[in-house]
Amino acid sequence: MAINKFRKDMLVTALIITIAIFLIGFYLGYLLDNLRIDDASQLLKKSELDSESFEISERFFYLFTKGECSFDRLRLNELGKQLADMGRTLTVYDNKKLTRRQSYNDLKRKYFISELKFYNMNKELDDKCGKKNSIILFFYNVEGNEESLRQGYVLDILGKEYNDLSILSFDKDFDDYSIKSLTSFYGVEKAPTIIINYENKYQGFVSEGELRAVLNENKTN
Amino acid sequence: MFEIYIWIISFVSLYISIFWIIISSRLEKNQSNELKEFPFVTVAVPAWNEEKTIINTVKSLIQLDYPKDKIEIIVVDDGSKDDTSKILKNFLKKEKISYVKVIKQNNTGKAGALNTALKIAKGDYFGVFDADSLASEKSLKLMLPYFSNEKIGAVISPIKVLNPRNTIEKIQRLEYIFSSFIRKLMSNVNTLHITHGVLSLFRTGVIRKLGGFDSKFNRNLTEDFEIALRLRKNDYQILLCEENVNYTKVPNNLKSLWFQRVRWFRGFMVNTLRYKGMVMRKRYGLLGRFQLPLELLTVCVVFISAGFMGYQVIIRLYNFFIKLSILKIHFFDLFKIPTIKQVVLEINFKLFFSFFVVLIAGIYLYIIAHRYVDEKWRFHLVSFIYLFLYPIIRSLQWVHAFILEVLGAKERWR
Repeated sequence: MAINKFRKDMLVTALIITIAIFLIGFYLGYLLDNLRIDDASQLLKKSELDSESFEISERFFYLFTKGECSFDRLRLNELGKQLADMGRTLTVYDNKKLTRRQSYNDLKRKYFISELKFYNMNKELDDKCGKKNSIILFFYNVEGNEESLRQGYVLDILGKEYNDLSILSFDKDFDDYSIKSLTSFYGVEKAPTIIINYENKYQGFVSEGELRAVLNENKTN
Repeated sequence: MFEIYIWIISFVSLYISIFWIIISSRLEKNQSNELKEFPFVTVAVPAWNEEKTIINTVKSLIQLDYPKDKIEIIVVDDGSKDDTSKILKNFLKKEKISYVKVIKQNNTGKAGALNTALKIAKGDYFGVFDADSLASEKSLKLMLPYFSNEKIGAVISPIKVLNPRNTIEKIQRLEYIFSSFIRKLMSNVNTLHITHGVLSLFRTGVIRKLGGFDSKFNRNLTEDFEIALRLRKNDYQILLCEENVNYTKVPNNLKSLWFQRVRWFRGFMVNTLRYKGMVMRKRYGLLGRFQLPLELLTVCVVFISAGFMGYQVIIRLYNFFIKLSILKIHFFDLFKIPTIKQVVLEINFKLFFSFFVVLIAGIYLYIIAHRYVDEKWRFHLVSFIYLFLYPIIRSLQWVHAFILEVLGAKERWR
């Protein structure tokens, strides 16, 4: 009755099975990372193509209508919202990354560059045709910055409420030349910092009420 | 950091689950040998304020299927403030039972009460039986044949919960089923190191040789665990007799359950530290090199998890309220029902796949544990609480026990 049914190979077998299950988990995770990167790349590619297509058609009309500003503002807003959605997706995927860190960083870089391109295009059109839409640059910090997080919530809700508002978010400390140029141009020293309509700079958390007031004022001007 | 921690936990949990599954796959129901001779047995019942349960407990011992001239029952009333001994004496007088002795003494603690019985015990075997439990008729006949050689120092039985009614009792019912099953597996690989109070049989000579139950060691709250470790330290084996099942009453509210477990966990910490010399020692085989390190690791994991859990809860609640305070009525505007693709892509598979497998392994062990003790298995709300919420409560109990131990809070076994 007191038979010892233990054999050392049971410990080894358990170890082998555990390692095998872990490896399967890693492999599935790797496959999922690939899917995420493919998904984000496709979204980014679509966003870039849409943006390019918009820019080309706008230029075409501008050239062939001898300087008339006949571009579709709604479509421009849509491009801004698309970029914001893309940013959210990328943030979610970025939090899950374990492998392919470089690929994620490249995607983020590409995304920030797309945002900057959009910003430039917006500025160019506003200068040419007179400003009608609002645009916000939001510089945040990813590392445990509560104020950035809170500012993000506020901007999210405003972005949903104001149809003609485009919000472009940038990781203040991201290692890219274009972002560094932007932060140095605007003198961004801390996160969160927001720039409203190219020139109004606010450092630190800005409440929903304050932002609403600024946006409404810009609308009436 | 968090990811590395999750990996370590899931790896260890998975490894242990698979190890137990392998052991359980070789599990066969034992059949006790028939008892040819009837050795003299003493059953000691330490009691403290047990007037409500003592009669039923003693009745179950009287009804044991064992020659009455080969058994003595010693009830030690350890300074009860109620009428435990009076009620019992009246009952014995009325029933004209002479082989049950009742001793009343000042409160010395459970170990002290057991030592009082041990001093006068005539039996070759010494049984420990709590005053809130019920023994099965065949207990002695089934358990005694397990003492097949001199190195077997103690034999215990699986325990079931007596008439579980409310949720707290039903959760403990599952807990006892699972722990009985794990004890069987431990018994099979010779790592069992517990002799509970719901009828543990010891060789009287061995217990006397080892100095009896520990009533002197500072704040020893689990003398049953201590004596088991002492037996193991002295190279005695402990076995589980699966054919016999005894029943016990369990705490019926969270407060009593909480304090019972805190006491057990404090006892575990004190005694494990006291017997730390057995950890990783070749002499103690799988117990020293696998079971005890594993238990220490589990306790460490529980503490770290409680820390992480507390941190996560605070951070998430903080973020939730911040978000709520900023967004106010817009709060729910930000929620969208995710698509299947979003759900799949948001799962951190590398991190949680092994956790998922651990969960399946746990459920599998849970099912076979039920089968093993001939209990019906059903997945209901109580199972859900037991599998998912109860571990959180246990973690907090461990933290409470640790804090009390560090502060040196005084507590007797009752």
